[in-house]
Amino acid sequence: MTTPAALTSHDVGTVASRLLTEELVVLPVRHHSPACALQVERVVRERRPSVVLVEGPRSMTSLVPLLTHPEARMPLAVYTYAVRPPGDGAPAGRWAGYYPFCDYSPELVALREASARDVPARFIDLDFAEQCLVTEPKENGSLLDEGHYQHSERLQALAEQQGCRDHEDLWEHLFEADAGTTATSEHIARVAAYCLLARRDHTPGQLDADGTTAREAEMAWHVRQALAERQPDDGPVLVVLGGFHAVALPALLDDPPQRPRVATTDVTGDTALIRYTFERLDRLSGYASGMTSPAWHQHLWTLLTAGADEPRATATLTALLDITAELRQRHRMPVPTPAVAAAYEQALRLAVLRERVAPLRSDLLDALTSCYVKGDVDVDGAIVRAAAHHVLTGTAVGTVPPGAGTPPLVADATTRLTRARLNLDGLERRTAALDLYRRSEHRDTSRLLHGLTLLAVPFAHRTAGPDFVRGHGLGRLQERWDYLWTPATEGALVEAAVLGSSVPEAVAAKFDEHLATAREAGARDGAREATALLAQACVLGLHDHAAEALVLAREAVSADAVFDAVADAAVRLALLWESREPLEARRLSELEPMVRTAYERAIYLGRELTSSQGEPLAAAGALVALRELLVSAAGEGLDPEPYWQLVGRLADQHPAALVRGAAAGLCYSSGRLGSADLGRAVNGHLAGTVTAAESVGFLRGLLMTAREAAWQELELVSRLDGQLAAWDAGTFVAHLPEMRLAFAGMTPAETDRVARLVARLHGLEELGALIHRDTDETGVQHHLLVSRTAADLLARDGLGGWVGRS
Amino acid sequence: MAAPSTQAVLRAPAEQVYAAELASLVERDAGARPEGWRLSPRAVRAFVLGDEKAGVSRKYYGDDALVDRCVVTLMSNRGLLLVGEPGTAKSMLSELLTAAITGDSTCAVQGASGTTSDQITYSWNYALLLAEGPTQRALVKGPVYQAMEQGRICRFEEVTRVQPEIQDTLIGLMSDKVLHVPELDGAEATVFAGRGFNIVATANLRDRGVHEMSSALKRRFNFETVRPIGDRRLEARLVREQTDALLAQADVDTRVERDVVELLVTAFHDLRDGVTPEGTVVEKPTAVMSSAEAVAVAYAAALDAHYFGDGDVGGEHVARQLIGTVLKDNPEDGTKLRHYFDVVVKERARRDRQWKRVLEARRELDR
Repeated sequence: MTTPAALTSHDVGTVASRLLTEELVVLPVRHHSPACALQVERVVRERRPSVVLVEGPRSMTSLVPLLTHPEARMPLAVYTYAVRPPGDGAPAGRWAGYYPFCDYSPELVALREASARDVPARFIDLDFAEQCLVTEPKENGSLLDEGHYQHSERLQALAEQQGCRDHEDLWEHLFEADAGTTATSEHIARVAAYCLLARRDHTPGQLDADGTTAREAEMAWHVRQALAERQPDDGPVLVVLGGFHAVALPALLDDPPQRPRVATTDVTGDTALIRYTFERLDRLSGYASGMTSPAWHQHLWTLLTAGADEPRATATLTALLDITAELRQRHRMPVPTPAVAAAYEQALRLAVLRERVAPLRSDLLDALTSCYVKGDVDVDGAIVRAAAHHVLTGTAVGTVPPGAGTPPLVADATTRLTRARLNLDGLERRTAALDLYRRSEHRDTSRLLHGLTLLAVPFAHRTAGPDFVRGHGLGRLQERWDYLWTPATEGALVEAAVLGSSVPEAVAAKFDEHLATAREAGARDGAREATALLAQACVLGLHDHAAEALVLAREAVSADAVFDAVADAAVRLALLWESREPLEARRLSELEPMVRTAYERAIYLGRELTSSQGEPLAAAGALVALRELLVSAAGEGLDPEPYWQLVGRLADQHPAALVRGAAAGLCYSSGRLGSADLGRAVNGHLAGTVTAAESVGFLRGLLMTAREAAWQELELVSRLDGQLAAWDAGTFVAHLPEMRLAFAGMTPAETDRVARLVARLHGLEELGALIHRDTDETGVQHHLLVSRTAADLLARDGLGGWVGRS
Repeated sequence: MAAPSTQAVLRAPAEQVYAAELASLVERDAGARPEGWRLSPRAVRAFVLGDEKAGVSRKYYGDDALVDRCVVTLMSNRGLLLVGEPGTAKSMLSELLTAAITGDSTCAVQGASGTTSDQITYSWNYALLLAEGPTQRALVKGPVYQAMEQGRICRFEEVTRVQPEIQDTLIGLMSDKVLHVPELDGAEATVFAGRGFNIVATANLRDRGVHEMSSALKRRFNFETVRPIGDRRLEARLVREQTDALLAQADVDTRVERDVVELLVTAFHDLRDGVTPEGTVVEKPTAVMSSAEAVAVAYAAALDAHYFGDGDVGGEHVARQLIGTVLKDNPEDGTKLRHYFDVVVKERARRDRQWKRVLEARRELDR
């Protein structure tokens, strides 16, 4: 590839002179540039164009009256999406994009000025759907293409030479610093030179691939049409488009290419005007789609249009004061006033040193780094940088004028929710109680609300009811939701509109995404997550997707190597099978065999437990869960023998006493272990020389799975009693926490039973009352003192919350 | 102070080494100069960052905006404090700035935990003091006194190593720009700083033996963080140039080849960043792996190859010196370096000849 010749002033002059003639004025702009917006204003005022053509998807022309509506408040964005169903050869496609507008966007200024003078204005670029088919849209979803500047090496070299950080700094230095003071012809020539440099870094092949060629052909066609329709006495045709394209326009007008015809017959889509925020604009622009720091540019625009003196110095000072206020109030960082003065002075002096006409944003940020950060800039400077970013970005939110339409998803959601008898007009949260077992329309509502939650639309919040995904509260019959319709709901629905035009469609699309992620993660995710996904599919009513989720779950169960995870998965699958009535998952006939597969794999993994160390508590819990599985309806067809063999083995051979105890308890309650043997085992542990955790651990495991042993086996209690009596105070205190945990699983009634048993051992009827009401005053005072001291000690250790002190 | 010839001195100050460049800049300088400065701010910037048209070489790599901010700070009424990890060219930058602005980078205080305020402000010739009493003749002016008197910039290296009470003598000097000598009478008792006085200080913020600066003192300085060079190619170029200069000065004709320098810089970046370009995570040793260390390693490796080898600097020479750099006093660093050799170097040795030679030095680690 031969490098093109260096750019000469002759080249620039040739192009620039074509851009400014009697009949055609082409203003090369950058999106969101106050300097360019000022030029647009001036051109419309001085040259009185007869028609205004603006770069942007054609279909947005219908939104021009809304954009220029007097009640519209910027920032707003046009949100557009396109959907193509899978067809012959082409995969399904779903694209969405934003086209943001601010008060200082040259495009909006053009539209507003045209509207004020009753001059017709329209957008002239390829439609969004056409653009998507011609190229791959960018991931961030912005429709403003500034990547050409970012990737231009010539501009980068120019930036370094001028002492600028990057191409944005360079633009600000060359064009924004002296905004409003240059004549239109001069401005056009300079922007043309800038863009021609960038253009030379892109090959025709690259421009074809990213759709630029097709788009420029379309825009050139529209310009030719407008020129042809223009009468000799009319004002000129004004074209406002990105500079990168503007410099190619003269050549395209001389040698007109074919107007591109993109087949969009089966593509559906829509556009909507939505509220936008400066914060989202900044995030969008972070991918070099425009100029960041919207609040900074907005303030400059206000000053420029008011004709203020030294607008940039004023804006710098205002920004400094705002940042200082933010640091002092929100971050509680003290900033002495001399530092503010010093920073202002620093910014002005930096601008002078760098030979700039006025301070730029980079000068302001440098001044902050020098004067406000008292330490390492990466450590102490992070707060200052964050505050600066926040202030320069701003918090403005736009207002959509009355009459703006809504995407179909919003309408569909509203219809469905209203049909479900949910009140969308209230200002307070309301509760909905859904009877999942008896009313099918309530099941539909439940699915709708779960679906909205999946789409991350803030509307309803489940407060009570059976959780089939996690397996809690399955005894509950009613599901309760708190709901409230807010503007955020609508916004989120508009955003989710890319997934589909009806709620079921959008939910299915979103769930597909989750399935795709799970598939990519492969079997790494684990059996628990995969079965949760399956349950979620049923909860959402996506029974078609449930089949695929089932496949994933099967794979995950086969691949997961953790005993308790697979046991958990087996239990969940069983629960799912049992709950198929309210979930209407009757068609999932493969659930039963899957329960068996999971059970068998769990048993197999359990045998490995003796050699591996895993979490004892999790293993014990898993054993209990499997026992419950065996006695449940879903576990009827399962063979219990392998389970009991496993349990027997673990009772003898597992390294952790807790698991041995749990296994022993299981054997005992199923009658496979006699009371004498049990008593011996307990005593052996308690009397042995192992640590407190181990010795009492056995007891804890036992009581976890068979707590009835505590009051049924007198032998057990008496041995325990004897052991406790034999311990000295120190040993007792050492064993106390584990003992406490061991008996924690009992209900108060059961604890009382054990207490009576113990009392009888000592020849008493009862162990005595827990509450004594007959103490005297000194006793009470003493007890209060002790309580307070204990509470102070706990509070000192940061545990005040345990005794009610915050 | 008489300037000795460059040849006889181990390390000449910047104003001598670059005397020709400075003279050229003074000649071409048309900009306005702040009072007390020999060059205009843009010329000072050009001296540090280079200017092809004036024949001035680039001396500081990495962050041009930092140099802008330093120059502007020195024009203001706050001091400049360069902070950063050891070996990031803070002292070099301080030296270059003072050499360009005042032409004398030797007006400096070297901070240490034993520095007293005598060494900063003034002290006495005790014999004369006893003989004549306190007079101007008996006064021994410290660097800051001289700088204030003459309206020049004073350097203060390692200000945070100085005891906090002694550091705080700077507070009064920086805020009122006046030095009191209570032992003298009349007009001599107060020294007002001349225009052009300022202080360039350097500090390592995170190191052993470093004290905290008081907030009152912090307020008087603009902090500028000097970072290590992030760009590998830039660092490789810097290491090569500096090593060549050092070798030329030592009259050694061995030179370090490009691929060996790249290997060295890659190893340094891996250990500095904690992750290799391939994505392997390595433990970062506690020893500081700065560009200055890299130059020292390259220089030592070249000397090693020249005097003890056949003059061909290879991976094994670099590796031997690298081990010495990393293993300073923390025994854990040995484990980390061994892990680096076993995992990363072994992998690379399969593909690259020089890395294979590096692997040969592995057995040095087991001693």
